[in-house]
Amino acid sequence: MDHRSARIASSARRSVLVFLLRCAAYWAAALALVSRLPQIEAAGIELTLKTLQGVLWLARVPVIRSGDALYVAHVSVDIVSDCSPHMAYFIYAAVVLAFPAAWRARALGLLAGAAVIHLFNTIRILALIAILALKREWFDFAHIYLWQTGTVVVVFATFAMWLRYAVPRPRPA
Amino acid sequence: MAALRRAAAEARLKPLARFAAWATLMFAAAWLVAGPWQRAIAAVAGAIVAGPGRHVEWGTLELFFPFDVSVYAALCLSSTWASRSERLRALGIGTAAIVGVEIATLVVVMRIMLSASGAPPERQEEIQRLIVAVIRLSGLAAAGAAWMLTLGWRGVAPFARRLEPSHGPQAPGERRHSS
Repeated sequence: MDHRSARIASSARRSVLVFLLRCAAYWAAALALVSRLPQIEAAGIELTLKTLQGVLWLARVPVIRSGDALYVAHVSVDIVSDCSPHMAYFIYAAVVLAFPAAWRARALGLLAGAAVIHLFNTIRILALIAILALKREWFDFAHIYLWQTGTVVVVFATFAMWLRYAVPRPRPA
Repeated sequence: MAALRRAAAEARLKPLARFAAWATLMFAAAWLVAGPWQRAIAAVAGAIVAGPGRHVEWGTLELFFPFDVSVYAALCLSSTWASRSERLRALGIGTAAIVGVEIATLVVVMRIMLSASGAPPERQEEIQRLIVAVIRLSGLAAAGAAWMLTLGWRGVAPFARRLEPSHGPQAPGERRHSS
Protein backbone atom coordinates (compact mmCIF):
# COMPACT_ATOMS: atom_id res chain seq x y z
CA MET A 1 0.00 0.00 0.00
CA ASP A 2 1.56 3.38 -0.99
CA HIS A 3 1.57 6.45 1.23
CA ARG A 4 -1.51 8.05 -0.36
CA SER A 5 -3.60 4.84 -0.18
CA ALA A 6 -2.59 4.35 3.45
CA ARG A 7 -3.63 7.94 4.22
CA ILE A 8 -7.04 7.49 2.54
CA ALA A 9 -7.63 4.18 4.34
CA SER A 10 -6.70 5.72 7.68
CA SER A 11 -9.09 8.64 7.08
CA ALA A 12 -11.92 6.25 6.14
CA ARG A 13 -11.33 4.14 9.25
CA ARG A 14 -11.47 7.30 11.37
CA SER A 15 -14.85 8.19 9.81
CA VAL A 16 -16.11 4.68 10.61
CA LEU A 17 -14.94 4.99 14.19
CA VAL A 18 -16.74 8.34 14.61
CA PHE A 19 -19.87 6.80 13.05
CA LEU A 20 -19.71 3.81 15.43
CA LEU A 21 -19.24 6.06 18.46
CA ARG A 22 -22.33 8.02 17.40
CA CYS A 23 -24.23 4.73 16.98
CA ALA A 24 -23.15 3.70 20.49
CA ALA A 25 -24.41 7.01 21.90
CA TYR A 26 -27.82 6.57 20.23
CA TRP A 27 -28.01 2.93 21.38
CA ALA A 28 -27.24 4.00 24.96
CA ALA A 29 -30.01 6.61 24.73
CA ALA A 30 -32.39 3.92 23.42
CA LEU A 31 -31.50 1.60 26.31
CA ALA A 32 -32.13 4.39 28.81
CA LEU A 33 -35.49 5.20 27.19
CA VAL A 34 -36.65 1.58 27.03
CA SER A 35 -35.79 0.90 30.66
CA ARG A 36 -37.14 4.20 32.04
CA LEU A 37 -40.35 4.36 30.01
CA PRO A 38 -42.43 1.16 30.18
CA GLN A 39 -44.88 2.88 27.80
CA ILE A 40 -42.50 2.22 24.88
CA GLU A 41 -42.62 -1.54 25.36
CA ALA A 42 -46.37 -1.41 26.07
CA ALA A 43 -47.00 0.63 22.91
CA GLY A 44 -44.91 -1.81 20.84
CA ILE A 45 -46.87 -4.78 22.20
CA GLU A 46 -50.23 -3.02 21.67
CA LEU A 47 -49.32 -2.06 18.09
CA THR A 48 -48.28 -5.66 17.37
CA LEU A 49 -51.50 -7.04 18.83
CA LYS A 50 -53.72 -4.58 16.94
CA THR A 51 -51.92 -5.20 13.63
CA LEU A 52 -52.12 -8.99 14.02
CA GLN A 53 -55.82 -8.77 14.88
CA GLY A 54 -56.39 -6.54 11.85
CA VAL A 55 -54.49 -8.79 9.44
CA LEU A 56 -56.21 -11.94 10.73
CA TRP A 57 -59.61 -10.21 10.52
CA LEU A 58 -58.88 -9.21 6.90
CA ALA A 59 -57.91 -12.81 6.14
CA ARG A 60 -61.20 -13.94 7.82
CA VAL A 61 -59.29 -16.01 10.38
CA PRO A 62 -61.14 -16.10 13.74
CA VAL A 63 -59.04 -14.59 16.54
CA ILE A 64 -59.79 -13.92 20.20
CA ARG A 65 -57.76 -11.53 22.29
CA SER A 66 -57.36 -11.91 26.04
CA GLY A 67 -55.00 -9.36 27.58
CA ASP A 68 -51.72 -9.70 25.64
CA ALA A 69 -52.56 -13.18 24.32
CA LEU A 70 -54.15 -14.14 21.00
CA TYR A 71 -56.08 -17.36 20.42
CA VAL A 72 -55.95 -18.31 16.78
CA ALA A 73 -56.08 -21.62 14.87
CA HIS A 74 -56.26 -23.64 18.12
CA VAL A 75 -53.05 -22.09 19.45
CA SER A 76 -52.49 -19.29 21.92
CA VAL A 77 -49.64 -16.82 21.55
CA ASP A 78 -48.48 -14.44 24.24
CA ILE A 79 -47.26 -11.18 22.73
CA VAL A 80 -44.34 -10.24 24.97
CA SER A 81 -41.52 -7.71 24.79
CA ASP A 82 -39.54 -9.80 22.26
CA CYS A 83 -42.56 -9.89 19.92
CA SER A 84 -42.60 -6.09 19.71
CA PRO A 85 -40.49 -4.50 16.95
CA HIS A 86 -39.22 -1.68 19.17
CA MET A 87 -35.69 -3.03 19.87
CA ALA A 88 -35.06 -3.90 16.21
CA TYR A 89 -36.29 -0.43 15.28
CA PHE A 90 -34.04 1.29 17.82
CA ILE A 91 -31.02 -0.61 16.47
CA TYR A 92 -31.89 0.56 12.94
CA ALA A 93 -32.81 4.11 13.96
CA ALA A 94 -29.48 4.61 15.75
CA VAL A 95 -27.58 3.62 12.61
CA VAL A 96 -29.63 5.99 10.42
CA LEU A 97 -29.28 8.88 12.87
CA ALA A 98 -25.53 8.30 13.25
CA PHE A 99 -24.89 8.17 9.51
CA PRO A 100 -23.65 11.39 7.87
CA ALA A 101 -26.74 12.41 5.83
CA ALA A 102 -29.19 15.30 5.47
CA TRP A 103 -31.92 15.50 8.15
CA ARG A 104 -34.63 15.16 5.49
CA ALA A 105 -33.06 11.89 4.32
CA ARG A 106 -32.75 10.70 7.92
CA ALA A 107 -36.42 11.48 8.62
CA LEU A 108 -37.46 9.52 5.54
CA GLY A 109 -35.17 6.65 6.59
CA LEU A 110 -36.74 6.56 10.05
CA LEU A 111 -40.29 6.51 8.65
CA ALA A 112 -39.56 3.91 5.97
CA GLY A 113 -37.64 1.78 8.48
CA ALA A 114 -40.53 1.88 10.95
CA ALA A 115 -42.91 0.64 8.27
CA VAL A 116 -40.58 -2.10 6.96
CA ILE A 117 -39.58 -3.40 10.41
CA HIS A 118 -43.19 -3.42 11.61
CA LEU A 119 -44.28 -5.24 8.45
CA PHE A 120 -41.50 -7.82 8.86
CA ASN A 121 -42.38 -8.30 12.53
CA THR A 122 -46.03 -8.91 11.68
CA ILE A 123 -45.10 -11.49 9.00
CA ARG A 124 -42.65 -13.08 11.46
CA ILE A 125 -45.33 -13.59 14.14
CA LEU A 126 -47.89 -14.83 11.60
CA ALA A 127 -45.29 -17.36 10.40
CA LEU A 128 -44.64 -18.42 14.00
CA ILE A 129 -48.38 -18.86 14.61
CA ALA A 130 -48.57 -21.05 11.49
CA ILE A 131 -45.56 -23.09 12.70
CA LEU A 132 -47.16 -23.49 16.14
CA ALA A 133 -50.34 -24.75 14.52
CA LEU A 134 -48.65 -27.07 12.02
CA LYS A 135 -45.19 -28.07 13.33
CA ARG A 136 -44.91 -27.19 17.01
CA GLU A 137 -41.48 -28.88 17.36
CA TRP A 138 -39.96 -26.38 14.91
CA PHE A 139 -41.08 -23.38 16.93
CA ASP A 140 -37.92 -22.71 19.00
CA PHE A 141 -35.64 -22.94 15.97
CA ALA A 142 -37.90 -20.73 13.83
CA HIS A 143 -38.41 -18.24 16.66
CA ILE A 144 -34.70 -17.58 17.19
CA TYR A 145 -33.89 -17.81 13.47
CA LEU A 146 -36.52 -15.24 12.53
CA TRP A 147 -35.71 -12.98 15.49
CA GLN A 148 -31.94 -12.95 15.07
CA THR A 149 -31.06 -13.70 11.46
CA GLY A 150 -34.32 -12.48 9.93
CA THR A 151 -34.27 -9.19 11.81
CA VAL A 152 -30.62 -8.53 10.96
CA VAL A 153 -31.21 -9.25 7.26
CA VAL A 154 -34.23 -6.92 7.21
CA VAL A 155 -32.40 -4.15 9.12
CA PHE A 156 -29.40 -4.42 6.76
CA ALA A 157 -31.58 -4.49 3.66
CA THR A 158 -33.56 -1.45 4.79
CA PHE A 159 -30.37 0.42 5.68
CA ALA A 160 -28.78 -0.51 2.32
CA MET A 161 -31.86 0.72 0.43
CA TRP A 162 -31.90 3.93 2.45
CA LEU A 163 -28.18 4.46 1.73
CA ARG A 164 -28.86 4.42 -2.00
CA TYR A 165 -31.33 7.25 -1.48
CA ALA A 166 -29.33 9.20 1.13
CA VAL A 167 -25.94 8.92 -0.58
CA PRO A 168 -26.54 8.90 -4.36
CA ARG A 169 -23.62 7.69 -6.49
CA PRO A 170 -21.83 10.58 -8.19
CA ARG A 171 -22.39 10.70 -11.96
CA PRO A 172 -19.26 10.15 -14.02
CA ALA A 173 -17.93 13.45 -15.44
CA MET B 1 -33.26 -0.26 -20.99
CA ALA B 2 -35.51 -2.67 -19.08
CA ALA B 3 -32.77 -5.30 -19.23
CA LEU B 4 -30.27 -2.79 -17.81
CA ARG B 5 -32.66 -1.91 -14.98
CA ARG B 6 -33.21 -5.60 -14.24
CA ALA B 7 -29.45 -6.18 -14.19
CA ALA B 8 -28.97 -3.25 -11.79
CA ALA B 9 -31.70 -4.58 -9.49
CA GLU B 10 -30.09 -8.03 -9.54
CA ALA B 11 -26.71 -6.50 -8.72
CA ARG B 12 -28.29 -4.77 -5.71
CA LEU B 13 -30.05 -7.92 -4.48
CA LYS B 14 -27.16 -10.33 -5.00
CA PRO B 15 -25.03 -9.22 -2.00
CA LEU B 16 -28.10 -9.33 0.23
CA ALA B 17 -29.09 -12.79 -1.00
CA ARG B 18 -25.50 -13.96 -0.43
CA PHE B 19 -25.58 -12.56 3.11
CA ALA B 20 -28.98 -14.17 3.82
CA ALA B 21 -27.70 -17.54 2.58
CA TRP B 22 -24.54 -17.38 4.71
CA ALA B 23 -26.57 -16.14 7.71
CA THR B 24 -28.90 -19.15 7.42
CA LEU B 25 -26.00 -21.59 7.16
CA MET B 26 -24.14 -20.00 10.08
CA PHE B 27 -27.34 -19.88 12.15
CA ALA B 28 -27.77 -23.66 11.75
CA ALA B 29 -24.18 -24.16 12.96
CA ALA B 30 -24.72 -21.77 15.90
CA TRP B 31 -27.95 -23.58 16.82
CA LEU B 32 -26.00 -26.83 17.28
CA VAL B 33 -23.47 -25.31 19.70
CA ALA B 34 -25.73 -22.74 21.41
CA GLY B 35 -26.25 -24.70 24.67
CA PRO B 36 -22.58 -25.47 25.49
CA TRP B 37 -21.54 -22.00 24.20
CA GLN B 38 -23.96 -20.20 26.55
CA ARG B 39 -22.93 -22.33 29.53
CA ALA B 40 -19.23 -21.65 28.83
CA ILE B 41 -19.77 -17.88 28.49
CA ALA B 42 -21.92 -17.86 31.65
CA ALA B 43 -19.27 -19.84 33.57
CA VAL B 44 -16.52 -17.36 32.64
CA ALA B 45 -18.71 -14.33 33.47
CA GLY B 46 -19.83 -15.98 36.73
CA ALA B 47 -16.22 -16.62 37.77
CA ILE B 48 -15.34 -12.95 37.09
CA VAL B 49 -18.30 -11.64 39.13
CA ALA B 50 -18.07 -14.14 42.01
CA GLY B 51 -14.32 -13.88 42.47
CA PRO B 52 -11.97 -16.63 43.70
CA GLY B 53 -13.43 -19.44 45.85
CA ARG B 54 -17.08 -18.54 45.15
CA HIS B 55 -19.56 -19.90 42.63
CA VAL B 56 -22.53 -18.46 40.72
CA GLU B 57 -25.43 -20.80 39.97
CA TRP B 58 -27.25 -19.95 36.71
CA GLY B 59 -30.90 -20.76 36.15
CA THR B 60 -32.38 -20.92 32.62
CA LEU B 61 -30.27 -19.06 30.10
CA GLU B 62 -31.92 -17.17 27.24
CA LEU B 63 -29.05 -15.18 25.84
CA PHE B 64 -29.25 -15.31 22.04
CA PHE B 65 -25.51 -16.04 22.03
CA PRO B 66 -23.71 -17.27 19.80
CA PHE B 67 -26.17 -16.12 17.10
CA ASP B 68 -24.41 -12.74 17.10
CA VAL B 69 -21.22 -14.57 16.07
CA SER B 70 -23.14 -16.36 13.31
CA VAL B 71 -24.38 -13.01 11.98
CA TYR B 72 -20.83 -11.63 12.06
CA ALA B 73 -19.45 -14.73 10.29
CA ALA B 74 -22.12 -14.34 7.58
CA LEU B 75 -21.26 -10.66 7.14
CA CYS B 76 -17.54 -11.47 6.78
CA LEU B 77 -18.04 -14.41 4.42
CA SER B 78 -20.38 -12.43 2.16
CA SER B 79 -18.02 -9.41 1.92
CA THR B 80 -16.76 -10.38 -1.53
CA TRP B 81 -14.91 -7.09 -2.08
CA ALA B 82 -12.24 -8.43 0.32
CA SER B 83 -9.91 -11.30 -0.51
CA ARG B 84 -10.47 -14.71 1.10
CA SER B 85 -7.50 -14.29 3.46
CA GLU B 86 -8.74 -10.82 4.52
CA ARG B 87 -12.19 -12.24 5.24
CA LEU B 88 -10.80 -15.11 7.31
CA ARG B 89 -8.51 -12.76 9.22
CA ALA B 90 -11.44 -10.43 9.96
CA LEU B 91 -13.51 -13.43 11.03
CA GLY B 92 -10.88 -14.50 13.57
CA ILE B 93 -10.26 -11.04 15.03
CA GLY B 94 -13.95 -10.08 15.13
CA THR B 95 -15.11 -13.38 16.67
CA ALA B 96 -12.61 -12.96 19.51
CA ALA B 97 -13.89 -9.39 20.06
CA ILE B 98 -17.55 -10.48 20.05
CA VAL B 99 -16.86 -13.27 22.57
CA GLY B 100 -15.25 -10.57 24.75
CA VAL B 101 -18.39 -8.42 24.38
CA GLU B 102 -20.61 -11.42 25.29
CA ILE B 103 -18.64 -12.04 28.50
CA ALA B 104 -18.56 -8.31 29.35
CA THR B 105 -22.34 -8.07 28.76
CA LEU B 106 -23.03 -10.92 31.19
CA VAL B 107 -20.66 -9.48 33.79
CA VAL B 108 -22.38 -6.06 33.57
CA VAL B 109 -25.85 -7.65 33.66
CA MET B 110 -24.97 -9.75 36.74
CA ARG B 111 -23.48 -6.76 38.54
CA ILE B 112 -26.63 -4.71 37.81
CA MET B 113 -28.85 -7.57 39.07
CA LEU B 114 -26.82 -7.96 42.27
CA SER B 115 -26.83 -4.22 42.95
CA ALA B 116 -30.64 -4.08 42.52
CA SER B 117 -31.48 -7.05 44.75
CA GLY B 118 -33.03 -4.90 47.50
CA ALA B 119 -34.62 -2.25 45.25
CA PRO B 120 -38.40 -1.48 45.22
CA PRO B 121 -40.58 -3.41 42.69
CA GLU B 122 -40.88 -0.57 40.15
CA ARG B 123 -37.07 -0.16 40.12
CA GLN B 124 -36.71 -3.95 39.72
CA GLU B 125 -39.01 -3.83 36.66
CA GLU B 126 -37.00 -0.97 35.18
CA ILE B 127 -33.79 -2.96 35.67
CA GLN B 128 -35.39 -6.05 34.17
CA ARG B 129 -36.30 -4.08 31.02
CA LEU B 130 -32.76 -2.68 30.85
CA ILE B 131 -31.21 -6.15 31.17
CA VAL B 132 -33.38 -7.68 28.43
CA ALA B 133 -32.64 -4.73 26.12
CA VAL B 134 -28.87 -4.89 26.80
CA ILE B 135 -28.78 -8.64 26.05
CA ARG B 136 -30.80 -8.20 22.85
CA LEU B 137 -28.77 -5.24 21.60
CA SER B 138 -25.17 -5.91 22.64
CA GLY B 139 -24.43 -8.97 20.49
CA LEU B 140 -25.97 -7.60 17.30
CA ALA B 141 -24.43 -4.16 17.83
CA ALA B 142 -21.01 -5.77 18.43
CA ALA B 143 -21.36 -7.91 15.29
CA GLY B 144 -22.27 -4.90 13.15
CA ALA B 145 -19.56 -2.69 14.64
CA ALA B 146 -16.83 -5.34 14.30
CA TRP B 147 -17.78 -5.91 10.65
CA MET B 148 -17.81 -2.17 9.90
CA LEU B 149 -14.34 -1.80 11.42
CA THR B 150 -12.79 -4.81 9.69
CA LEU B 151 -14.43 -5.10 6.25
CA GLY B 152 -17.67 -3.11 6.03
CA TRP B 153 -16.06 0.32 5.75
CA ARG B 154 -14.81 -0.60 2.28
CA GLY B 155 -18.25 -1.68 1.10
CA VAL B 156 -20.54 0.95 2.65
CA ALA B 157 -20.93 4.37 1.04
CA PRO B 158 -19.82 7.04 1.79
CA PHE B 159 -16.89 5.41 3.56
CA ALA B 160 -16.10 3.51 0.38
CA ARG B 161 -16.30 6.81 -1.54
CA ARG B 162 -13.34 8.05 0.44
CA LEU B 163 -11.29 5.35 -1.25
CA GLU B 164 -12.07 6.76 -4.67
CA PRO B 165 -9.30 9.12 -5.85
CA SER B 166 -11.59 12.17 -6.24
CA HIS B 167 -12.82 11.82 -2.63
CA GLY B 168 -9.55 11.17 -0.84
CA PRO B 169 -8.20 13.68 1.64
CA GLN B 170 -5.92 16.29 0.13
CA ALA B 171 -2.37 16.73 1.29
CA PRO B 172 -1.27 20.32 1.97
CA GLY B 173 -0.48 21.96 -1.33
CA GLU B 174 -2.12 19.19 -3.35
CA ARG B 175 -4.57 20.42 -6.01
CA ARG B 176 -7.68 18.53 -6.99
CA HIS B 177 -8.70 18.70 -10.65
CA SER B 178 -12.21 18.22 -11.94
CA SER B 179 -12.96 17.24 -15.48
